[in-house]
Amino acid sequence: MNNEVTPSANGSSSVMAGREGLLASMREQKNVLDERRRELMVEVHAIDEDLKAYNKAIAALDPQPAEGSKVSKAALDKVRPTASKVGPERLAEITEVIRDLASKDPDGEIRQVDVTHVTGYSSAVMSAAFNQLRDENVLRIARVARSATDDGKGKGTWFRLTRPALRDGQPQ
Amino acid sequence: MANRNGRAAPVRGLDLTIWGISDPELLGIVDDLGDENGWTHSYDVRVQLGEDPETVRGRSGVGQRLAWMRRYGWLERSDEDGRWRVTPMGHAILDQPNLTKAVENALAKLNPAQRVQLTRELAEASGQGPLEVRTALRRQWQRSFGK
Repeated sequence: MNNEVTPSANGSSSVMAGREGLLASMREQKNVLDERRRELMVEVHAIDEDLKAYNKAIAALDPQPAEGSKVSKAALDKVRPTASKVGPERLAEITEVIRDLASKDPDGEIRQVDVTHVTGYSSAVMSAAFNQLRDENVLRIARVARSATDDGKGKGTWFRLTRPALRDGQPQ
Repeated sequence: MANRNGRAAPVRGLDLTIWGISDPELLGIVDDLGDENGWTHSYDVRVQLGEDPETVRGRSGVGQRLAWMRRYGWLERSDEDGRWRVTPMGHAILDQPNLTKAVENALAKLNPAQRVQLTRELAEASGQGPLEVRTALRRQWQRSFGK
């Protein structure tokens, strides 16, 4: 840049010089602010990371979100069981039907479809309930029938009550 | 139905991974099929699980699963005819008592950090217990956690 100032009658060179100086000063100020902003952004990022870590730890100890906490629902879901579960009342009702049907079968066996016909719940609910009962050691797989038998028992997966579940169902 | 090579398509039964059928369920089936002395053949277990041994032939996973259960100490195998029977430890696993309501309620109230502590306690306590039970614990963890 040519900094040489040529004097003129109306003094425009001094105005130009003043504007250049002002611009340079403003640019310098802007650079300082940009630099400060960058530093703050780095700090905010570091604080965000720390906050995430603290929120995660707090959620692990107390699943209820603290007042004013910015823990997202997705973050909370991570500390909750994700498997679909059937409620205790519904599960107890299904278990009761299973016990009833199993007591009527000569081999003590039942199929999911037969229980569905009695309870009227959707197959999704029934599948979740049966899986839950298997996990809770109430039901177990007895056999898989590829075709109906002569005594009228249909094909499909047959279940039966486990030994502890049979004991629990006996009158004390 | 036949394959392109003219052979019958294999009719497989249940998913035989630990997530398809649990160890106690498989033990229960061996127990169901046992004769007066508790012995049963792999063939009968395969049929009971919905498999057609004629089409699946030697590619079944049932025998392997039973063999592993013998190593765990839950099944025994007859040297004479290769039949299987549930051992006393296998019966103990089948008879596992349910948790009391009070214990279930206490467990439900644990926060995640306490669950970690509980897992440590369980693992350390089982480390002093019989190997068969330690294996049952490990496999139950594997099944429940993998779901």
